[in-house]
Amino acid sequence: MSMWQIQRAGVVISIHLKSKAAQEFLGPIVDGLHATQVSSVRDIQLVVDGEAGDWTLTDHEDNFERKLKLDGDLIYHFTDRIVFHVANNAKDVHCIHAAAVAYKDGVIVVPAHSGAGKSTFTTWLVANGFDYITDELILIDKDLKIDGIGRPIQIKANGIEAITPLLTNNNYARGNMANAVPVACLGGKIVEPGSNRLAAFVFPRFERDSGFSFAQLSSAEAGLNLMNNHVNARNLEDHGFRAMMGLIRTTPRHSLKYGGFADLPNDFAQQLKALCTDT
Amino acid sequence: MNLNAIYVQSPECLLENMDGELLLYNPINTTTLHLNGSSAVVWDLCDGKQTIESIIESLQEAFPDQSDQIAADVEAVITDLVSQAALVEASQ
Repeated sequence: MSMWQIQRAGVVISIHLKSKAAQEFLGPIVDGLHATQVSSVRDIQLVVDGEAGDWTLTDHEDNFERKLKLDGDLIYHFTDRIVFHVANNAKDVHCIHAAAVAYKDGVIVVPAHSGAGKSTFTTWLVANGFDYITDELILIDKDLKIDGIGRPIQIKANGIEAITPLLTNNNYARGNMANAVPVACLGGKIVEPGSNRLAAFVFPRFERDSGFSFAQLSSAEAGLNLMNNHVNARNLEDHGFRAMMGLIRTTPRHSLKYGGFADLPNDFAQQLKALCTDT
Repeated sequence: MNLNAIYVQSPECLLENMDGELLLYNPINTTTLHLNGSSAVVWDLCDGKQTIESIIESLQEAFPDQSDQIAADVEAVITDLVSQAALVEASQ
């Protein structure tokens, strides 16, 4: 089947994978985004046509069309359109520019701007036994449940070398904008929708040769960082400020600085898992 | 800087006390400011009644050992908060 719908926070995105090649290549990725196959849709937004080496991505809502040669670039732009539409139109949830992973029912949220290394850190977390939610956008609802856009992890060309030791296979999609790394390449899996709870915020900062530090963060510093990564504040009462500050006050929060995976202590994954299982 | 000017906190700004530290969110430009100790004091004194000069004088009385530095600090904080649209001139 070629028609799909993604529903998040009242936003409905319809997708048509037009060609057989598009269905075979993007079908598993769309499925990983917890989309639903449908027999027909009234207003198609995203259309993917063509074949490997000659893809066409069209976003009818924004009159956006792009010809793409590399599979990784198709995934990058395709999932970027989905992230954009959700973040732009979601109203009753907080959309945060953040990665998120889960261990048991506890979720660690990793808010950071582009380039701070959150996708790279996410690969390490998944390779170390965490289940994957997203590397880009989380949605926090009024009951503090966490959802995310679970696209393949996007690793820039200059970052692929760092994560290569973590890969169990090299079946990732190469791209100029980013390489798209499915969590299966890391031996991980995507979290199924359901109940979970926010366990901790970790604010990462990658600095080459900086060494390792992992420390509690003041509520003010964490609140400032969180609001700087809040992407749909304009759609929310009080711009989401008071709700997010309330969340920050009651949630463990840490800063992480590291210069490479080699800096991370052997028991660091266990420390983070303990945060997820603490009640 | 005109020391006779009077500034008032932008009414749109939202303030949260985060365990003793102040965070200020301005919905107009969607920026969040972390007010450190001196910034928080100056912010509090910009009540739409006091001139900059009177704010400086009251702080110099309260902290005579830092008297020389206070005028420059107050002016810097007010300049910064005005540039972030967190303070506006009372007459505007």
